[in-house]
Amino acid sequence: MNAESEKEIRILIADANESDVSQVVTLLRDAQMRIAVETAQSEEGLAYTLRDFKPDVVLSEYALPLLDYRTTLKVVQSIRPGTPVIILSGPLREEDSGSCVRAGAESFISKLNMGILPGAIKAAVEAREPLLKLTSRQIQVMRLVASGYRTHEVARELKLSAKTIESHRHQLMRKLGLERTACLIRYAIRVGFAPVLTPKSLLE
Amino acid sequence: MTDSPSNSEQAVLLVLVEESESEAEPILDHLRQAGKPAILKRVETKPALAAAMREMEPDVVLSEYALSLMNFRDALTIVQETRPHTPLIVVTDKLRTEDSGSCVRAGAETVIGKSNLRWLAGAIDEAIAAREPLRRLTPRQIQVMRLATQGYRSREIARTLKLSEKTVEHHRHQLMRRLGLDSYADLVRYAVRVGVTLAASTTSISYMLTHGEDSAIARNRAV
Repeated sequence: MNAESEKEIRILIADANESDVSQVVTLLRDAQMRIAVETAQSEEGLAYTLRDFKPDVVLSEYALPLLDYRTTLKVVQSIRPGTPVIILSGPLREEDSGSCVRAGAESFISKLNMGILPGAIKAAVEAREPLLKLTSRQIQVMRLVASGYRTHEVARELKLSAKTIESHRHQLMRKLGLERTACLIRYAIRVGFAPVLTPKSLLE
Repeated sequence: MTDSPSNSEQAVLLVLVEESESEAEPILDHLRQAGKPAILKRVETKPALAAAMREMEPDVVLSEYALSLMNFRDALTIVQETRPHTPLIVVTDKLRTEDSGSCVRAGAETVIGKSNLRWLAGAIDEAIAAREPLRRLTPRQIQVMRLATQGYRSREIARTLKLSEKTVEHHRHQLMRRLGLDSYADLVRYAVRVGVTLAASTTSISYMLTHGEDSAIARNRAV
């Protein structure tokens, strides 16, 4: 076991096809990754496993009979926000990769090109490591700030004083080593705490 | 550019960053079938792309992932320097070392496979529509938007662009009004949408802020 394999990565695979799942597991083990794997095939199964297994990464088939990737994204964002969702797909799909990423997916990988999956998983986990330094309250504040809430609005939402919010904000930026608000928002978008703004919402 | 004037009135203007001449035809065929006639100019070097951006003023840039003399990141840099409201779509079958999410976070609109061009016409429409609000800004306002959303303060932006702080504040106010936005967070989220600034990990962001695209500012901050 080399140094790279020390930390175990918990992976939830939303895929109904057993041979696909075992192919992914073999691929990741061959790439010297230490992994723990659970699977889910339905929305209920996904919600339960997210709470119970607390995965670091979700791999989702583009469209399962009982679960499409947009539902997967929604469930992940409500139960374990910030958990990266990598979509795996065969050639038959209805959207381009950019749309999936803007909808909140970490990445979109073709099943014909799975060699890049280990690197994508590692990058997704690494990008989120600084979040481990934050308290759950600080993560709540970060998400609201990145979504455009002003200090007094965050305070009202979390039933805290504006002064307390300012203190959380100061603390979390210090822990992340980001001294500018724009940088905090750019990082929040990177880890899926806030979506990019699309023109539809601009023109509303 | 051999199409007749009547055709070129509604034709989409494309620059294709690609080594092989034969790659243009399937793209043009696909777009014609999708009811989107296009005029295409192929380039394969950085100076040729910069020249094409100025002379042709394309609606969209399509780029192969990597050529021998440049890659899509070089192309993005040139597009952002010359005509920042122009989207860049990576068209490739060579995504072997990097995933599509990483390409999009680098500023590409999307990644489309050459053997699977059927999303191209729709992706072009969406890319242009997303940048419609950006076209309401002057080049100077886009410069200010970029620096402000990267994390620089008005005083720092003023120093870099050799403007007064008051003028920078005025540009910031104007650009928010023209985009119809009222929060700084929304401005950052829109800037990331259109690749004017990038979402990134904490270490890359800190690095970009001190050594990055705007080393003039980094030098000033060190003083």
